[in-house]
Amino acid sequence: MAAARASGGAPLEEEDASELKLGEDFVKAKCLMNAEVSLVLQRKYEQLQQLADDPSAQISQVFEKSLQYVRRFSRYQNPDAVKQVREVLTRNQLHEFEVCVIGNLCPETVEEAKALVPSITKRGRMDDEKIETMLTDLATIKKFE
Amino acid sequence: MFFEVEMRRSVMVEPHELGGTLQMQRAMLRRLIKDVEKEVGSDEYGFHVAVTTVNGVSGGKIQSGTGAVVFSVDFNCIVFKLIEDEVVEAEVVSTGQQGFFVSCGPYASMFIHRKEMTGFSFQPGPSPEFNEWRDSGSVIHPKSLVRVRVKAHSIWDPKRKTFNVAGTLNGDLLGVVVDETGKDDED
Repeated sequence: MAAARASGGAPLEEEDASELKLGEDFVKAKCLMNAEVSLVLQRKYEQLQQLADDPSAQISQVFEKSLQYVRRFSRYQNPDAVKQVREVLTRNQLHEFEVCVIGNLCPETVEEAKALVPSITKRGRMDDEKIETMLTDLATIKKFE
Repeated sequence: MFFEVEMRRSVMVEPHELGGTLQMQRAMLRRLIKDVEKEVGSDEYGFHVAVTTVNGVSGGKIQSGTGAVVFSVDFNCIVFKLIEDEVVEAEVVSTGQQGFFVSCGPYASMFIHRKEMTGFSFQPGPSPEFNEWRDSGSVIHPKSLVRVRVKAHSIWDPKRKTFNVAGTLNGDLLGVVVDETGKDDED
């Protein structure tokens, strides 16, 4: 269901994941899965330690909370597996946002995928069979991670 | 959802940091990272998590008086913003009579009102960390993992440097998640 962003000014483009409207701020943005962010932030963490004047320099709360979160909620640890997941999902004409929600939540059944990411069925892009194949591919990647 | 967005900022390099190219680059990068961190977040992009790549530097205007140099830097930044209707996994931080709070990455608290969890009933504990919400199959208490749908998202609060977000557990396949390590929420 669409919901306008609460704002004192003029109404901006609505944000609504179910209709895949991300708002104008994210039109050009790339979406990232938790697993992808985990790899980046881990590298960044090591870089920041090296870059800091003060070796005991603290990292920001936002960085720390984000790092903790992606470590906890990544479905894949292996960088090759993460790459494969993106390839499999992107092959299916899914929007970046849909790719990442599926990559984050790893639905196991067609029903689950449609309930969690209702937009994938819109505009006739994916029928049940296509969704099933995609989920099976994801499960295989997980199995051989 | 994590996004990678393009941003532009003016970055100041102090006179004592001006030197060789490498030294100046490091000073500029350090300053950029610090400035972005100090912002914490914004209405447009949510929480600013990490600068990833520098795409271009231009300018180099000398500030009269201080002798510092100001550059205009184009860079990529990973941000985190919850999108309305997005389904996310989160950890419960507190449970009370009105509902419960979860933390989701840099969002310290998203509130799920008791009206957004049909079928659950509140069981107060001897102290707040033992409060629980129970339905026929699952239990919600601090440290439980849940899958919620984002219902409403406020604009950026510049004083508290955060957003106010509300979520819901009502919906297919939302609810308590069993930890993949095999531990269930009864532990």
